[in-house]
Amino acid sequence: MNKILPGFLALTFVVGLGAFFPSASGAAPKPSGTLTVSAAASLTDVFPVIADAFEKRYPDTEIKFNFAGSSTLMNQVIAGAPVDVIATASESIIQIGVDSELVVRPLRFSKNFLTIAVPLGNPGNISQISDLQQDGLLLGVCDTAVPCGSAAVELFAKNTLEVTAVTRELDVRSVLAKVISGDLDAGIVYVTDVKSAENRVEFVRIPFRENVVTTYPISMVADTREPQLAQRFVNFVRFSTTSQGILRTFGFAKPW
Amino acid sequence: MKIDANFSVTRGDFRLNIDTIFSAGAVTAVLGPNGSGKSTLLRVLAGLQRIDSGEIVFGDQVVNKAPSIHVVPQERSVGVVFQDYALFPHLCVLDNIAFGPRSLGLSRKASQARAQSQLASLGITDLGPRKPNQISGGQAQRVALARALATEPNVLLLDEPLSALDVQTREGVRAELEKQINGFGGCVVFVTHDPLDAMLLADRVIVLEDGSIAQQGTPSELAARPQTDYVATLMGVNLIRGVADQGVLQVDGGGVLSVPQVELRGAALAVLRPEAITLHLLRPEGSARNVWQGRVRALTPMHDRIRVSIDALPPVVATITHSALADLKLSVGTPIWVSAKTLTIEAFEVGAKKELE
Amino acid sequence: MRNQRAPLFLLVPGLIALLFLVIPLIALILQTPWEAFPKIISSPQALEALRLSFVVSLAATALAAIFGIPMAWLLAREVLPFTGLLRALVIVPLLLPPVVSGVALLEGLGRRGLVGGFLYDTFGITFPFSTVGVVIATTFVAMPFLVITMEGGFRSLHQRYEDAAATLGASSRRVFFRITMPMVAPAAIAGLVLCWARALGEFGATITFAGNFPGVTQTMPLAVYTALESDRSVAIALSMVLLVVSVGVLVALRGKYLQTRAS
Repeated sequence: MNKILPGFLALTFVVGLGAFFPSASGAAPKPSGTLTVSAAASLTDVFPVIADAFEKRYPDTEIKFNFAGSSTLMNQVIAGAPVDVIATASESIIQIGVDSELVVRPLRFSKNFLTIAVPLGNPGNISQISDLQQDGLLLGVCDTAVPCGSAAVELFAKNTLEVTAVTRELDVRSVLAKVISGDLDAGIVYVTDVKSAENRVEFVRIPFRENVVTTYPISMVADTREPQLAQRFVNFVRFSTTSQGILRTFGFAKPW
Repeated sequence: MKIDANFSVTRGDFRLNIDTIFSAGAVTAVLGPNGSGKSTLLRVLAGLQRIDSGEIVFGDQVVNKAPSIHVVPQERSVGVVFQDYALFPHLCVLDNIAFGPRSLGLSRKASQARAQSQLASLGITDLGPRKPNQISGGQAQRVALARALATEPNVLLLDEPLSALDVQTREGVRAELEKQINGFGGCVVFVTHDPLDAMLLADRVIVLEDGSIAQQGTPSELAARPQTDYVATLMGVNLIRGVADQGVLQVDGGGVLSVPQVELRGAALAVLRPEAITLHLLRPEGSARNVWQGRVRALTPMHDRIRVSIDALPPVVATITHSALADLKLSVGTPIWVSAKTLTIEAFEVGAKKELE
Repeated sequence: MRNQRAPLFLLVPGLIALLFLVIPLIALILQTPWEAFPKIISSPQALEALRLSFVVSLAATALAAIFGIPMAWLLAREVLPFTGLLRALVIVPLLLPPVVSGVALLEGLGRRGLVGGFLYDTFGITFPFSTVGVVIATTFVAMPFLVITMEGGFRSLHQRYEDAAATLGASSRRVFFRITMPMVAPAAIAGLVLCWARALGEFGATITFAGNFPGVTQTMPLAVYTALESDRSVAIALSMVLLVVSVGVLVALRGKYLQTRAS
């Protein structure tokens, strides 16, 4: 309780602040328009729910989504895709956009942790992370080109594990799908992924001190045609209790 | 080796019904219009098509007995010359001919040697290295025959062996073919829609109409006593149906003919050869008992005479010379008198068959 | 060149189509990092992917030939009941998005799949995440190209040649290898090339069924896609290699089998 209270206070403060910004800039009091939001694949389930809440609060707005791997999304922005907001699963990727002045003022809005997804019945008998070193275990990870892959590499290094994966998928959902189908004995995925597939997959918890944290930044794209609305959405995701509450339900951790 | 065939094949609406004997050492022509089933008959004999009932016996070997026995083409000792010859386009002429012996297990060398001797016996040795698309139609016909004979079959089957050829080459190839099949010695069956081929090449003719045998016999028997309009037209004679009694034929559809066969009673056919008919502008006076009137329906020039089709009771076709045409000044619609001597008419019972031997 | 003027209503859309097809390829050539090119394509990962692509595409083409040509014959000769239905089933992988093919393969031959489950439980055999798995996925997607081309070839071959060979005493095996196959050789070559090209470019079914691991299941298209996530110039260089191979095949067979023949 003593941990939550200061956070809650801080939250109410910044929510108020966030709501204050648009009106301070002297624009139309009633926000309207359409936003295109590029979001990391791991946000596929949660972002539409947040968008619904946003649209309910501002009825004249509409949010469209473009889900893909974080690097793909950044490549699209670099190539000039008409996107208003980008949310990635990697701070280093969003930093590429900041450095080239394509995105502005990124905010960390959530965190995610890794977990070991195993098929129902746990055929590989995995109970802790070191079990991943077994010979002949079919382990799937993401490719290092995508955030869940570099996080997995970091995870193995942090725990000084010698593991060999049999596949390096290009997005985390493919790893999960192959665990669910039983073709993999284990897959390194996000906590939120197993939550989304609750009854079709089991998971083995990785304790906090062994785990690797993934931070999710969200940012307005510099070239957006709707800068006020885009910033309002960014603030909503980061600061509103509604959005943060939804993120929690989907297993995403607090950003602080 | 003779072939004893008594079977039927059904393909959708079409039914082929055959009961005949192909004699050993004889050349049988199967004559019939398109769709009469003659190619199916050949395919059945070759073993390329199964039968639905009956049996077929080659010599003393049962090659088909529905539904259990079906000897495959490979084991029938038949040589087939296909329509359009079906020479293998990717093999040279020599390899086409050597294909059969090689398939029967001869060595490559022996097969080639046999092919060479086949080519030599047909006088086309120089064609050996050519591809089928580099030889003429007449040459292809010979190569196809050589290929069929190279396996030394007991039975030789030919499907329209001359129909792919133009008129000029046809005569020469027909003569050559006659020599070859007469020298073959086994049982020969060939299918044709050309009565001339049948008359010139065959010892015996089977006429197929709508899947069944309309008539069979020697070429001269067919010419003398056609049983159906199709055969009569093929033979170029008038066939008149009627009821005979004491030398008088009451023609079906009208008219009366006096025939010499006074003993004939009941349903009968009369054959009236076109050249035995005389045409007159005025009613003729004379000994001819059969005189009747009609109008010219059509004039068809043949190479040395004119065919005159006449609407009358009974309708007939007559042939006259060009000078006769000039004298009579005939044109379509001209009223005309027809006469025929009784003795030129041959009448016979319906269904009378004269079998060869 | 024919002495015919193209009407505008055909000329304009036709030229647009041409530009549409050519511009991306030109862009690819222009964007290729030529200085770094030798280094990129001689990197171990690129060489592995290239080697794997050739091995897999050739193996898939061989499998398609061994099993697909007989199937094409069965369809062409209509010896099986419901040939029309069977033909439609065979063509389905051709129309299916390859990813869906991959999912279907997982359901059928995956470790817990319909047949794959039995194979794993009985013999301990699994296909996903192995090169064999890549070959299976690739064959699944590429074989229909060979089958439909060959079926057309068998159909257009008149039965009388096979009949003639049979009456000459040739066994059905001899008829097939000495008469039928040589006569449909042009269709066979066209079909094999199409099949091989499709196998070389296979991506969706492979990554879905067999996964993505360098040296084992990462073929060229997977390497391109993986590189796209990290280093665009590597992806372009690898794409260039595939483009060169495709154009090379086209040139090698120019006019010979892939052209529509007038005669």
